[in-house]
Amino acid sequence: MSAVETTPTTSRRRSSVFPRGRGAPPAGGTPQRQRRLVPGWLPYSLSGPALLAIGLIIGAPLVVNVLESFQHYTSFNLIQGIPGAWTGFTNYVDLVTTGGLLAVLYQTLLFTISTVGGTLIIGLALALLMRRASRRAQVFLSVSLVVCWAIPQVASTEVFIQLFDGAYGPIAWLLSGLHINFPNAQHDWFANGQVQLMMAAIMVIWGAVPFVALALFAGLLQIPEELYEAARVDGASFLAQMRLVTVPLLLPILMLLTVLSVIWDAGVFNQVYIVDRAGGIGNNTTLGVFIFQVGIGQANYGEGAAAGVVATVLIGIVCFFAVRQMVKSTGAT
Amino acid sequence: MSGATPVSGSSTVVVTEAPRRALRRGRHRHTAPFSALAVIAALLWLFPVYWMVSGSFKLNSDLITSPPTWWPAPFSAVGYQEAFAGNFLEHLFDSLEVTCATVAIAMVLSVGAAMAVARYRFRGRASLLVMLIGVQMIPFGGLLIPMYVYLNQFNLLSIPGLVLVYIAPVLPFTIWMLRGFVVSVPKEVEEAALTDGCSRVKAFMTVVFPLIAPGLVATAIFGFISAWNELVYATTILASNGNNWTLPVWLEEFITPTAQVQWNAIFAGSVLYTLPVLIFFLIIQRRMMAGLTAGAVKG
Repeated sequence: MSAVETTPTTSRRRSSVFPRGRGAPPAGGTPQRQRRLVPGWLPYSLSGPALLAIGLIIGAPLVVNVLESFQHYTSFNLIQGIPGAWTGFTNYVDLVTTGGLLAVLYQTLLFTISTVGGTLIIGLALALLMRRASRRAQVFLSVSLVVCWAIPQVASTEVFIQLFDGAYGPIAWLLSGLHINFPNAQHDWFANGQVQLMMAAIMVIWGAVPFVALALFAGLLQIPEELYEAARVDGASFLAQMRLVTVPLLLPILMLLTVLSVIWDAGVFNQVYIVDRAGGIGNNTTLGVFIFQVGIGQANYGEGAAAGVVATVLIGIVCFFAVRQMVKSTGAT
Repeated sequence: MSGATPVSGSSTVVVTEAPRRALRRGRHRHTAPFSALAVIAALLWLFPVYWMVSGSFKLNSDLITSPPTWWPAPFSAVGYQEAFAGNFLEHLFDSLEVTCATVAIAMVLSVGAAMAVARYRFRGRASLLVMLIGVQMIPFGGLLIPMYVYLNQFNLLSIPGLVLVYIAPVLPFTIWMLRGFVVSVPKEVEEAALTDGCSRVKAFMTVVFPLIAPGLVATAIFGFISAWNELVYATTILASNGNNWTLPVWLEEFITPTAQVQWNAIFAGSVLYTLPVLIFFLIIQRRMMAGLTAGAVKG
């Protein structure tokens, strides 16, 4: 949930960019010295309750999710308190054959690529702008971004739905003024699921850019000006400077931001769900909302759990490889 | 490896930080177009926020006209009246109940864990730290169904159940964040208090706690914002909980395909719902960003 959502992740970033720091001994001094002062049970009793909470509230559901995904478990079982019947892979098969899982996965993939890509490109562009802009413009842009970052997704999505209104919204007004018949002549963004999803993607990008732009700007400030100077002296164009200086030096931050964005955008719920409800079209959706629709909406808990397992595994795999790559590329130094 | 250049490069240059800053100002003579673009980008990004605030002071009829009205004239508070008539206060109370309980419990749990990982070496410490990072990679929405089924079995489809659900996912980050603050308090200060005869608890309360208090506030605000903004679990768990919805569920319920939408009330509700978060966010933002850049400079 949003635990990861508004995270500028001081510590995580530090540990990923400078992996050695994490391995450093804690401030506790040598083990001998500690042994005299600290009873052995103390650290365990201090960290135990938090560990227990994480284990009970995240660990246990993680296991139960897998178990439930192999059961026929519906509202009947829930109300009667009857354990579900084991049905093997039936839930997964049903999701693929009749549940439309493949279409949802495809849409989630497209949605994730376009939102993550859009967020990173726009975020990088704004960060570069901020670096080159005057001090005042820099402050103005960064304060604006912080304000936008702070707006809760539910609130901004409600506003965006009015902004996108085909009849009265400012976006329709602008598009018709420019004689752009997009997405159709009526500027009706609720016309079909694909366009609705595109609208949700724009909302997601709007909400995700501030954090990415500010983090990249902080990263840009660390790049020594001398490198650009040297590149200019050697006759490097703007694109060459980007390719040879900016992107390689920002790579650790860029990778981290990509991983975080993939987790958030592939599992997105708020924007897609609210757009869905406002439009009244429920079949074009992404994985996060799909779990809700199948599991809670249709009260088919077994299939919902199976969809949840699919989401966890897919996002987990992406993160695993990305993090491994990240550790490799920074660990090499 | 491509990563080799940047890190070694930046570490040599940190030394020359000050003269570089001084030079940079004069270097870019062509800032004007970039500044203009930056201002345009800022206005573009702010527009939805402006639209929300101005829309909350419009009459609903001014929000369903074409062309759109760009300024609230007449200036009206009808939207706010309707938001309050729609039980804003009641749901504000529900939201506060959930967020405050979540934050209080999460803080108590994470202070202990942060002390443990920051101060003491113990078996399993390394794997605990790895787990804290790993847990944050789990898409929390994927666990919706088992969570719902279990809470239902224990009759917890209510506000206490929602608090339970909210605690765990904020813990890994709050522990990490607090760990950083605890590490920055010198161990010797605490040891001095112990030598002077303080009990461990008293040493913590009188020495460590005041020093990490600002960090505690920042961490608590982070937890508050997370719980305040959450929709999917709130809407699932509180659906059958009478009218005790948190604010995002309440706000989301405003938009339905059938009803005549009262946009000014929705916008007013959005403003009211946003305000506490915005204030808190501005308080901790500097700290969060400072943390980001500080981490990068130190290496």
